[in-house]
Amino acid sequence: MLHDACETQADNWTRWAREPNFDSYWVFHREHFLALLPPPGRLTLDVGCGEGRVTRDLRALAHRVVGVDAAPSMVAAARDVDPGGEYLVADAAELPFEDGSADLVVSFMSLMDMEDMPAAVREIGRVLTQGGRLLAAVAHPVNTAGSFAEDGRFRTDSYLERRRVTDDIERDGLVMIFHARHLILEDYSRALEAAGLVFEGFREIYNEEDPRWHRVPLFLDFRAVRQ
Amino acid sequence: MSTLWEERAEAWIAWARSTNDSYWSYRDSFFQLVPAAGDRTIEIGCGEGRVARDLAVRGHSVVGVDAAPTLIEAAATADPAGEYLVADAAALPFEDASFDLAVAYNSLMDIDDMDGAVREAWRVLRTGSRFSVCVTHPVNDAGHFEPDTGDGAFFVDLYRGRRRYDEVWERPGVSMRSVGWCYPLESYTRGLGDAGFLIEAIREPSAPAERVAARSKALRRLRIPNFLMLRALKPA
Repeated sequence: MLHDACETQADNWTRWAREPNFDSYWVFHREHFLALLPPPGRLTLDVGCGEGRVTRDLRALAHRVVGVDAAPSMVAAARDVDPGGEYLVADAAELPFEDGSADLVVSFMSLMDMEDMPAAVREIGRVLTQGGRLLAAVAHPVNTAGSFAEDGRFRTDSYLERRRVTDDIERDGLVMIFHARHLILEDYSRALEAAGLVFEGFREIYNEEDPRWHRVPLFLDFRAVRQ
Repeated sequence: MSTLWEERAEAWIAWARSTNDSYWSYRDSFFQLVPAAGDRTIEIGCGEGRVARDLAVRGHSVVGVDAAPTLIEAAATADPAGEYLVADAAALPFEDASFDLAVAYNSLMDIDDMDGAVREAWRVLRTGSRFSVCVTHPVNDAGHFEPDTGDGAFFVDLYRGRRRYDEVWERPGVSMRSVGWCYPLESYTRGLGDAGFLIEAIREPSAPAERVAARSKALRRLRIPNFLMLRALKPA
C-alpha cells in the first residue's frame, strides 16, 4: 500500500485480514501461494508483512523469518499476536540486512503497493544469496488495468499506461480502500533484471467463488532465483 | 494447424512480405531480446523466412524449420544460400545440443503441441543458450475493441484457458485468414518452466510511432499491446 495510505488504513486492514474466511488469502490465495514456497533455509524475509499473517504461516512451516513493513501500526499489530516472532519497521528499499544474508524473500501482495517497486526489488536482490529465491504475489496486471462495468463486462481503457489505482470495497460491514499501482509484466521483469533475478515460473490466480473472476485473473504469483 | 498453414501459404507469403504485416514495425523490439550470433541458430516456425533472413543479415548461421512445405519452398527461393527444412516443431530432426540460440517469432501459439515444441527447443539447445520468443499478447487475445477502431474501448471477454483463434485480416487488395490458439501468460511460462527454461526478460512493446502514423487503427496499440516478447535461458 502506498505509504501514508497504509498507515491510516492499518486498523481497517488488520480487521479485514484477520476475519476468518474473509480475505482472499484465507479463502483461496494462500494454498496457491504456499505451493510455490521453497523449503526453509537460514533466513526468510517477509517484505511488506503487514499485520503478519504470512509471517505466522511461514513460522508454522519452520522458516526462520523476519517480517518487515514500513507501517509502524502494522508491525505493532503483527507483534501483538505473535510475541515470539521477529518484526521490524523498515522501508523495503532499505532493508536492514547484510548482502546475501537471506535465502528466501517472500513478498505477498506488496510490490505493487510500494512507492518505488524497482528499488525494493533491487534491495531484495542485494540481501538474497546466490541461488536464493524471491516468491511474490501481486495484483494481476489484467486486473489493475480495468474494472467490471455495471453490465458485468470487464472494461480496460489502457493496459500499458502505468497509474495509481484505488479500489473501495465494502463487504459484510468491513470497509477497505485498496491503494496500488497498475504495473505491467515488463515492469516486474525489468526490476528483476536489474536486481540479478530471473523468473522460474508464474501462476495466475482466479477466484473460483465469483463467476466474474473465472475469466479474468485476480492475482499473479511468481518465483524468481538470484543468479 | 500445419495443414491450415499449408492451405493458406500463398496468402501468408503475400501478407508477410507486404507492409501490412506487423513484423516490420516490431522487429526492432524483438531483436533487442535476440543475443548476438553464435555458432548456429534455429528458427522454429520460420514461415516464408523474413525473420531467418534478418537473422542472417545480423551474422547468424540459421536453420529455419516450418511444418508447411510451401512456406519452406518460398523461404528457400527467397534465400538460396539459407538452410530451410520441413519439420514438426515438436519433433525436430536434430541432435541434442545442436544450437546455441533458438528463435520463435509468432509461431508458438500456432503449433498444436506447444509444450512439445518448447521441450524440443530445450533439447536441441546447448546449456547456457537462449530461446527468444514473440507471441500474440495474452491480454489482446482475451478480448475485443468496441467499436473496432483505433480509439475503441477494450473489453476482456475470456483470458483463461486455451481458446481457438480464427480471424480474417483484411487490407486493400490482401486478405489473410489467421487460425491458431490463444493462451494466457501462464500457459507459455509453464511450458517453458516445465521444459527447464528460466525467463530472463519480458517485454510488452507499444506500437512504434511509424506504425501509428501509417495506420490510425494502430493507435489502440499504445494502450493494448499486440505482442509479448521474452527471452529464456537454458541454465547450466
